[in-house]
Amino acid sequence: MPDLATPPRSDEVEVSLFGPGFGECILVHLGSGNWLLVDSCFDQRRREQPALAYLQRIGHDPASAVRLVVATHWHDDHIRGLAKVVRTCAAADFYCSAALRSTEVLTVIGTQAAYTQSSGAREFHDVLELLDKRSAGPGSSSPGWTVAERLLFKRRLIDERTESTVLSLSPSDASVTRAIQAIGRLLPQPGDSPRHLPAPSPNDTAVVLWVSIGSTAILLGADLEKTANPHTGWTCVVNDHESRRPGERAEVFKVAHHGSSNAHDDRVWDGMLMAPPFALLTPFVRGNVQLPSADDCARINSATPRAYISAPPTVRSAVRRSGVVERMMAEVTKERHELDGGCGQIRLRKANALERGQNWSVDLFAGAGPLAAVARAL
Amino acid sequence: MAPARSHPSLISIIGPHEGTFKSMKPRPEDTGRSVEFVQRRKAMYPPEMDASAANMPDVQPSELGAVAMTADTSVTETQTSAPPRHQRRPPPGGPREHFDIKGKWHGHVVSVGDETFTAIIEDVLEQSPVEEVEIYLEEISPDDRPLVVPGAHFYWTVGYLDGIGAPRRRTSIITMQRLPGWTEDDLREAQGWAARIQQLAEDA
Repeated sequence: MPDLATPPRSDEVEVSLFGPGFGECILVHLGSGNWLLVDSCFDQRRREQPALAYLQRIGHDPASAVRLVVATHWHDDHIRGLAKVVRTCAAADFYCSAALRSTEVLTVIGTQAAYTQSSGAREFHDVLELLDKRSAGPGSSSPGWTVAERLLFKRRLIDERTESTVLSLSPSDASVTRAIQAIGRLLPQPGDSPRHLPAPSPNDTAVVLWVSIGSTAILLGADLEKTANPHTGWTCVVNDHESRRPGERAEVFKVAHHGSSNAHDDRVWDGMLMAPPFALLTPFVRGNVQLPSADDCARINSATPRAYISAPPTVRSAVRRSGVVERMMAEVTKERHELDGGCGQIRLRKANALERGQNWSVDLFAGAGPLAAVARAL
Repeated sequence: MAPARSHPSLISIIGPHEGTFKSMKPRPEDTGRSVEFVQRRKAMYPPEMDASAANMPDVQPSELGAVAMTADTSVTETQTSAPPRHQRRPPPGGPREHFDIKGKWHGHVVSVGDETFTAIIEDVLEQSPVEEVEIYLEEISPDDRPLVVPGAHFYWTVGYLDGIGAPRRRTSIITMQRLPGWTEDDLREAQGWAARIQQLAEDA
């Protein structure tokens, strides 16, 4: 039985994926107790941010241990509780997509913050407001904007030979321009009624990260989708990778967009990943959408036998309430269910970052399991 | 096939907690808006323009189920006990009906279908997981139907309605939020905030 509370050794690489909770988040141990935290999710049952709770459980204080927080995009299922994460991780630099930097997009975020209590835009507003207040004191206070091929972090944390770097591979310039135009259209006009903002679509502005620790590389795919435009989405990322880092392969892949087919690109698996890679993903269940589908599972399982999912992609049960409330809700609703169930964790650890392709240990907690087992049940 | 349900009627009541009609005006924080935001809006608009929140009319409980007070709420009632044989007069000036709230959620509409709409709801009264629900459009009054669009916010309250001389009624109220539209000042304020954040990044 794996011990959840044992921290990684200082030279040990770890990738932990949490989800579904309310979304997903990722922790990467960069060496010597320093962590990268990607996105934020909320465990509805435990009422906590699982990544922060996990760090505390293994004896690492998030306030000093997290060096970098990256918000990949503003969909509600990826940044729930982000403001609390940034507030807690006081020593961390904060990065988000450069698509959010424009006056139009920030104005949209500003209008939403006056009205909504819980939304992706509200979380971003609270983060930026927090950083603005911090600017009066010491410490990290300004938001950083990610674009393709931007170095976000570079330190020698384990020893003099071992460098830890975090590089953003997206969004491309074309994606940023498209996003500013798309989100700019959401800017309310005088007289419009305040509303909950729809999630911007398609997901071609999400921040993909290439994490390198010694000889070990990790590709975190966020929710980036494949687009018909060669200057946006995965096509652009793969083209840049082939020209700038030919031959470099990641051992671990956080599968993009919950394994959906519109985020799949054969060239990612053939040109950016070692064979066979560890493929990690979280499910997504909303309305009629259930990811990954049976076809998605089959596709990913055919690409690697090392695929794991943090929880089964099945519709959750309804929250149980007192008898009278249950009866009243049943009269008014045709269907109801918990938005996301309990939070699972997939933990990969590798003893020596300098050795490429070395065996990783895989620990699965709560509802996490092999994707092959999930596929059989679908 | 939708289950048989009682006919919806219209009324304008909603409150944050257990209480009476005459005292149940929601607080700004219960309407999903900041106190500052509400105060600013109240200064700009005549009270009748914000009927969904801070300026609720007092309700005469005798009109329950019979009169449409405003066009921003929908009520489903189910009578749960027989009316008493001897009805008493309500005390003059005092509350005549009592709404015993059993559950209350704030939600926003995700999508709208032919028969139902899908929404995400969060419990206002207690900590519990966020839920996705499919609510029958029949539960929304005809006047409110145009307000049921993706992104629209609403409150949903269920409870018992008790009145002197009246039977206990199981009641479900869905209140679509009506808010004054954005003003030039609102947008200028948001633009000012955006400029401040951009300056923060440039200074760094």
